[in-house]
Amino acid sequence: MPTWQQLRDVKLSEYTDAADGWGKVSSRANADKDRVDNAMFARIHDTQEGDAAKAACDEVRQLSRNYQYLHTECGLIRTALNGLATELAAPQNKLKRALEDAANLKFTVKPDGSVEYPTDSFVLAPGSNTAQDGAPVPYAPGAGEGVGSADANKGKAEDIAQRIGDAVREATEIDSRYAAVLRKLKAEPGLTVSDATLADAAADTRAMQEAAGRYADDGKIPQGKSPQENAAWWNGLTQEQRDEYATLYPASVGALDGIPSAVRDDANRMVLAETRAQAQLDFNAIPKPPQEYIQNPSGQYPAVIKNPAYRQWEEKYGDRYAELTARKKGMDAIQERFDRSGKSERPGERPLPEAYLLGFDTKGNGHAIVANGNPDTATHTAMYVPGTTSNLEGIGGDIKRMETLWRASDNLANGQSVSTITWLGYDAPQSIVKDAPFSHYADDGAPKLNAFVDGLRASHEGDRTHMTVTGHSYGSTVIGSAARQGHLDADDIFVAGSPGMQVGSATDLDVPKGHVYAAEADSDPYLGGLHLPGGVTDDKYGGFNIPFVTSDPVPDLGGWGHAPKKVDIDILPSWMDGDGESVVKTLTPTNPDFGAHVVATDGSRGHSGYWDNGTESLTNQARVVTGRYKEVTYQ
Amino acid sequence: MTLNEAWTELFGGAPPQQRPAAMTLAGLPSAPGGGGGADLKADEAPWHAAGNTAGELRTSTGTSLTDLDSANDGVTGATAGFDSSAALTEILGTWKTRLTAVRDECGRLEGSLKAAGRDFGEREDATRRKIAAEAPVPPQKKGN
Repeated sequence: MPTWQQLRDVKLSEYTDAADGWGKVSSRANADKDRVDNAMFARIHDTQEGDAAKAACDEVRQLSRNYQYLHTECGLIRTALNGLATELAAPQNKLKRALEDAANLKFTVKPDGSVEYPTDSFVLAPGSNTAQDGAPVPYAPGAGEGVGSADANKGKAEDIAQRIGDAVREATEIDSRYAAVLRKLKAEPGLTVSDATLADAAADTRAMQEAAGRYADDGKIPQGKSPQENAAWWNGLTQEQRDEYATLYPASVGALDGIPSAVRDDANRMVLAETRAQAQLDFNAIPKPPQEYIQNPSGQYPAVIKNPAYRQWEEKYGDRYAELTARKKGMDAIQERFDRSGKSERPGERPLPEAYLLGFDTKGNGHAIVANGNPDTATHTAMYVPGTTSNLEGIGGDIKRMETLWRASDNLANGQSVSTITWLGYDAPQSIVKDAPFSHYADDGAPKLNAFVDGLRASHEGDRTHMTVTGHSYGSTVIGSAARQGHLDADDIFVAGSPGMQVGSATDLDVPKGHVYAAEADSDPYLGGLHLPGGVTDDKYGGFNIPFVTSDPVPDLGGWGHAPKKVDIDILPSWMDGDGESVVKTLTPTNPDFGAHVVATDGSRGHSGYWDNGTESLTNQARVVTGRYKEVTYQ
Repeated sequence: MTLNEAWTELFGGAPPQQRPAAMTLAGLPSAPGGGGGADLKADEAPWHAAGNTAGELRTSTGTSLTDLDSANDGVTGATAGFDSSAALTEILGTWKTRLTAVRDECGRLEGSLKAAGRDFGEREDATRRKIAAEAPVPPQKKGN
């Protein structure tokens, strides 16, 4: 606990200088981590089979975890020291003002903080008295007691003594708060960075948010602002402030549309590493499931019964076990994508570029935004909105689709840089039957999509470049909703297997005329249409996009599918046009009335084959993504 | 998978026409402790390069150690009476230990990755000789 003399003399710049040193170590560790991942792991990973190669990969991975650990913790120490210095400045100034006042009045501040003052009175004998911090009752503390006193100096001296005492108490509170949090930031001995260590780092971060909240206030991080405003806030910070926000509030910074992708990537990777470690720890804490089926002890039929111990286990841990398993699977898939950086799938292909984790959280079904290549410097950017059933658990497949698109596009890009992004930034419907007929998933996700696209525009370096937004299935509905509700700032739109986009015409989709492309594979089971009695549906263009929702021949329009309906009343008798049925046409993007380019999909089978290697649907998408419009083939 | 395909998948670039030619990698310093040198077999390159990076990281981590020392130098004297300074001194030691361990690990990895590269290179070379002796060189793949 400091004395008032120590508070007066403390050189706070020593703390900020020290903070600079820790900050350098943190930033350097961050850069070094990238070098480990890209210049070491990517080179040796899978170049050789065998135990030796695997051991080397594990060692390199551990090195990467060490740099992650150093980046986080040394960054927090930096913030603690800056926070300490900043907060201590207030009581130090308060003390200095009190000491100045004392000096001006010719009072003496004694070593214990009491204030000796000469008597200033018509009635009292000349001499001197001492004022203590914390004047006794019944008078109010400090200045209060001087009122009405026979000695005019008494109140002034008590006020000064009180201010000195207050300053020291405030400084002591600040000092002990930071000392406690600093002591938590000890490095563990050795070279291992265990899951527990990373989970501790997350706890340290939360503790530091508490302790240093007054210094680095997360209330200053923009919330609900436009990406342009976010970018302006970020650009207005010093580099040190940026580093501090990124290490202290990685989840908030990682989610901030409009700030540089490299910054978001670093912050989100920190969150991913810590969340993944915590999930593993939580998973390990659950007892292993007992054998699910056992032989019937009675020896009678049935021969095998469900193990009662398993039932108990399942009741107690089943949900959590499943949740953590799913979460781990998704996070592992993201890590596996990181590990594929620098690798080629086939001879002659360029290696996969660095990954950028532009969003990550485990809320709800979990969200992740993963880019192949830096969109801030890319000449062509494609972002992909996955559809129904997409969630964090299954992110691996959606990541793979964009790797495939990256390769196909890179092959056509004539050396121009391409970035492809899996954007699972919305809560997708999880059930085709129960959820997908509803529009609210799209309507809620659409503003997030618009903000993300605007964010990419804001964080892009140099001139505006070419951006394509692609969507699969319900993802295309999100895209349509984004254009309907706000402004979707894309140059091209490419949808595959769309159940409708909420708008009835390509011209409603915000992109320039002629820049909407739609793919629908012949055998797509969700889109082929279901012929109903009474001629209500048209089985070529539309029909029941989502089957089994209702058997009502006149369903609530909009309750099924997501395409506006167009009623064609056929007044001609059937002998004149061979039809004679009035139809309700659903204006899905592949309906000629919609006005999109309906592209060839040769080779693509079913609802999920649009990104298969060698398909025309993939190649056409790559052509659009790289702006080679003349080469696009049509149905 | 043919050997040439394996080669390109592993290391990128064009596969060698016949025997792997010695390839000079510009800018690579000689491996420490003899051996290797600037003339490397191409199939050593990824491991050797990773080893080089480890060497650079050793230097970089050493700089961090120096930074911590100089940044914290004098703090205690100029901030007497503050418990935070005592706490800082306590944790400083643990981070210097960690940084030292990381720095040394980089040094160790530098050596072992380069050695592994040489080792794999030799094996690769031996396999290739064996295959070349038993079968004609596989035809070049056309285009990419």
